[in-house]
Amino acid sequence: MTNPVTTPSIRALLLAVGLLWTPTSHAAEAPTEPAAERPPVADFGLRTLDGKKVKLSDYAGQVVLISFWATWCAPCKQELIFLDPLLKKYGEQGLVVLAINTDSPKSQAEVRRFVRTRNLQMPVLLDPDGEVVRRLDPRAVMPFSLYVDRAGRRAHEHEGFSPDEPPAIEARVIALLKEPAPAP
Amino acid sequence: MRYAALGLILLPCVATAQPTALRLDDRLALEGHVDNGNRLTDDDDYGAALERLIVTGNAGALTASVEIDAELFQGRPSAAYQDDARLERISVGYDLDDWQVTLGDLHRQLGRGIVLSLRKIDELGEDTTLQGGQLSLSLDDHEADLFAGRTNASQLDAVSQKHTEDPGDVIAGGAYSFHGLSWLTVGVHGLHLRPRVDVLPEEGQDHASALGAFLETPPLGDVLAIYLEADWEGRHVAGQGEQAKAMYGSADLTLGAVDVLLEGLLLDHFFVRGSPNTLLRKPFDYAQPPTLERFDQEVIDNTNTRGGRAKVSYALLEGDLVPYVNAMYRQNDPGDEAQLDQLHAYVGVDLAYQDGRSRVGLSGGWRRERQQDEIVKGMIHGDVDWLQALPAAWALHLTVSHESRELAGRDYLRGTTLVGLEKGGLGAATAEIGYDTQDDSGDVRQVFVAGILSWETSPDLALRATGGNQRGGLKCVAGVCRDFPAFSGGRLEIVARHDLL
Repeated sequence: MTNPVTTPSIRALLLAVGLLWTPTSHAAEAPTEPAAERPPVADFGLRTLDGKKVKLSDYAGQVVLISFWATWCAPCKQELIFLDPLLKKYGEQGLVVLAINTDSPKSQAEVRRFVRTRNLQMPVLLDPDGEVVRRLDPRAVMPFSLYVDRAGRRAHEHEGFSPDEPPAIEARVIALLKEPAPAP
Repeated sequence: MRYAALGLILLPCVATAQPTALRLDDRLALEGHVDNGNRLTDDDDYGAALERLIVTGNAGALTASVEIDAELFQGRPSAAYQDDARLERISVGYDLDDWQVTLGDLHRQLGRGIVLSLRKIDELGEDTTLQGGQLSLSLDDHEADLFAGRTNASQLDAVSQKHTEDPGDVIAGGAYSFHGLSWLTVGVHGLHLRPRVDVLPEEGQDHASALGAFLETPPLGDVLAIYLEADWEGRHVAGQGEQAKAMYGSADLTLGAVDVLLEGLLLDHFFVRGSPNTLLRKPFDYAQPPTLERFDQEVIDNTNTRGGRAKVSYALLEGDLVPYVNAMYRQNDPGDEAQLDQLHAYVGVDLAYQDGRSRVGLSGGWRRERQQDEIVKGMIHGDVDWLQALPAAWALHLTVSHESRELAGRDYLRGTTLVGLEKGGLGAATAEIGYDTQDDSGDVRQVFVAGILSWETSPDLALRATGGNQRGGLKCVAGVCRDFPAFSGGRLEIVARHDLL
């Protein structure tokens, strides 16, 4: 869509954007966003590798950790390998892990192979159109993880994965699991 | 007008009584380009400010997003670099139980992308949408949708930073799939394409129609999963009628710790193309079929080809150690005088250790491409991806990609090595060395050296500074993977997000 505007408009836009760069919080200070500041996460529906329909709202009242990944992304796969035992450890307490795959047709056949090889137990959802990525990870960065609290609100999000993160991820999950579920 | 549309879309998000989310994602890149050593002079010595602002919002069943792109160039080396600011994407969606309506820009893929694949590749890659509408119904056992619109490409070419125009081709289509059987999913899809620009206007309107069907089984008996797709296309181009067909299949067989993946592909002059890209002087391609190739393998032609591949993996140590072997054979233009035979085999191993905190992936392979009994292209390659966790949350990351290539009887080397020291929540310092000796004329750069510093100042703000010369390609830096364009000079990227509500 082309709609050329004047150069002063471009400068004004850049200036306006610059004003938004004031950081609001720091990871080391708060493992998750304060509950009162959490925005709602838009519901979505995708199919699993086995063709079953899954909606985010199916897990209302639970803590949902959404991980966007692709088979060509090594840190994405490393994160999933860590998240699977986390799910086994905290699943009964209300943790759900949804692994949303974003592979293109070029590498889509590799998805099931990786899941089987690693024996992942979490639901692996397919987003072939990339529409859920567009809603929740608008810049399409990989890996990208999103923490949804029991009230369906965005408690935290994170780009990338590094080896020191598992303790912080677990602490964040524990903190969210301790929060009370909202009244139905 | 555009701003009014923006307001109309965002207003429901803030006006509704539902809990509302409204956020900004912003990326600003300030770049200074110097001579990149490619002999061309129309892409050197200029400055650029590239801005992408994405606003997403949701309230109850309503979702909305807009993307504003702006480019400002200083000392433009050619008119192909254009100062511009525009509303590049706008989309609103409404979910009503099992129904969903999307208006504006949408991405869409049918089957395995043989007929249609409009999707965002990554943060900086190609991004073409369908600007129109889509109505979807998603039930437990049935899924159906109808869509129509005009194709809308990003005006800024991600690699060259030059300006390109929208194709504006009309595409309408739909899909249906049945999931009512636990052991089988079946589906059909189709589309009609009407390019905005005809190849020969005097020969009438160009158009194409495509139909396809697929079936997919979940692992039968937890052992065998199958996907099969067949597609047909009828085209009318420059007054000539053409037909094309495509078939694709994959089978994933699991026998204990052994996994066997088989893929087969047949594309018989199959392509779904629109109007010419004004920058690249070739048509926009709306299909992205499987290629059988590695994810980073360049594929010159994937429209008239047939072949297959097999990959065998063996999971050891509960999946922490996975050796694998892969072999692929493809024929381009089979049966023609110009038939190209491509053979690629590689082996590798993936190892995770220290409770998954560290990993190493090693692979190596061999490739030959023959035409009329002559080797026209060859390659021996080796790849390393090693991430070693260090004390105090530090990590060492080494990525090596080396290719010894042969093209038309001439040998050359190509590769990239990245060495980085990373600390989670803080950032990374990475050194990059690349080389490409294909052109040894003396006035083309063969060695590329660059440094990358990334700093995560907060969860909402990250800075990346790059200086030097880089080869293009897929790179994973500080745990994030992106497809980088070739670059020479200095760049500061500022990535921010901000919750407005």
